[in-house]
Amino acid sequence: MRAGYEGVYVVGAGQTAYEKRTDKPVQKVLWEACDLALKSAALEWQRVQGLAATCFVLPPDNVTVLAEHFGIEAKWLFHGVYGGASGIIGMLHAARAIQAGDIDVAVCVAADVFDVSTHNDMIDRTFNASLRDYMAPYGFGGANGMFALHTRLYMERHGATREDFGRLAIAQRCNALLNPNALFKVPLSMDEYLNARPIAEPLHLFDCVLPCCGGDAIVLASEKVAKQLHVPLVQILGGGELHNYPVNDIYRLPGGWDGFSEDMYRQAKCGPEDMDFAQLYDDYPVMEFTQLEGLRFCPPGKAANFVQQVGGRVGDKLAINSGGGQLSAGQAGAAGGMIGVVEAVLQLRGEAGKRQLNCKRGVVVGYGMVAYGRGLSSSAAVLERC
Amino acid sequence: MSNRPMPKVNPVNQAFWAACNEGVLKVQRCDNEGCRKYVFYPRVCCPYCGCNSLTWSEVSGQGKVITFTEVYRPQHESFRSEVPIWFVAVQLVEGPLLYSRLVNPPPQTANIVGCPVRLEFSSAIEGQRLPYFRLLDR
Repeated sequence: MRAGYEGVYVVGAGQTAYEKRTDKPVQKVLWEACDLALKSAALEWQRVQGLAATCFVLPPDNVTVLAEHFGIEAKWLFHGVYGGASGIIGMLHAARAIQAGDIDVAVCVAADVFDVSTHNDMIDRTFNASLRDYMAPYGFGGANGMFALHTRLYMERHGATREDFGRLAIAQRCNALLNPNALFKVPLSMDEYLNARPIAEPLHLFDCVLPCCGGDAIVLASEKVAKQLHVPLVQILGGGELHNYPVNDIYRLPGGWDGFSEDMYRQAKCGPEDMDFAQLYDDYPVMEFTQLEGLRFCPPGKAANFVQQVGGRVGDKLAINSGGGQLSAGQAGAAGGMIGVVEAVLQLRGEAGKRQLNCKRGVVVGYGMVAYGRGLSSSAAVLERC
Repeated sequence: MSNRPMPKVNPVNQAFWAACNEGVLKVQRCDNEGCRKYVFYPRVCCPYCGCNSLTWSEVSGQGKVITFTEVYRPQHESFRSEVPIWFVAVQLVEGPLLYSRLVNPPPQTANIVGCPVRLEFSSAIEGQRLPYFRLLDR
């Protein structure tokens, strides 16, 4: 069995305000997220020895240059190249570096300054060659078009309806109304969801995230450092990542969770029934369905029933994306891979304000690097309050 | 120039795009006797068996729709006058999956999953013909 993550603690978390536009350079947003996370950890910048950063608009700079920009003398760096799977993967890799004794304190950050046209231009030109050469020339609609194909296929295979996806989007909007950082401030009705303008059938406006500006960060520390901090501690019970799964098969199922969740739960010594929340990667509702199935909350094809049973809102049987998720808080580019981690840590620390759950542990999920027909990278972790 | 997204021709995919301009659909096929799989998108090695011997080979252009969408908000403004774009995933009878678009849109409520399609090249767009598909009667 794989070793666990004993001796490592998440000691801080921070999120900047999410904004539709900003004049700030992305380095500033990255810094603000890190600074908030360090403050919540009661740690000074001088203690940081490792940095994990994910940011689509950072090039031509990278994490090494960012460490210089911030004045961090780093013994460990991680540059997230797995899109929305990077936040959790960076956290898991940082935990290994801390376990090995290479470093005592790491900050993991993801941020972007994004809007619709920046996002589309990236997808058309710089994200990867297979998107650029074999999808973009057909006017595919970007990520919306790609996930419209997945949504259609899911509906075909499992009999799901637009109302099924709408129920989840509406539950998350309810949660967002309790989160002052969320961009969406008004409730969403089923009528509004169903009759919103079409983007790429069967996806309409509220199936799609709003690209925006913002950043999310967490701080990890060794036991030696963590025990001196007098802050609430969170531990990583289990985790996993998987890429290009299943190999050479785009449409058997869109996502890798099915390939590692059993192993992750064995490592965590608990199962989906023990989770008090699920912070899913909600670029599109269909991917949340796939995650619920791959993470064994319900059998394949049964996510619509499951969501109906558990509700998804704060106060329901199982809260799904208790801060509103990307669909209702906004997708600040790469921060989409960290928003769920920060929400999970805030919930476990008891710092989630009006949306606070009575919770001890939960699961967080990442997904990203859309390429030829699917996202190539999947990640997840189980976090628990100490 | 429209700055329309166009494929970037390079040594890996040059044969594919050159054949398209001649009205021929060619995909790679693995030369390994134990494999012989067709491969798309273009690679430097076979992703099924790992060998590095692939030969460009003409395929039938017959296939079926695996899944589809009508795109109302294309990702680039150069497509805006063409909406809705019927964007499709086509499985060729030889096996590979190609993304493409339909030249003959069906009625908007149609479910075309599983419908047969036949290759039909676009006219040249910025000097490059693209493999599109025509939806055939069920």
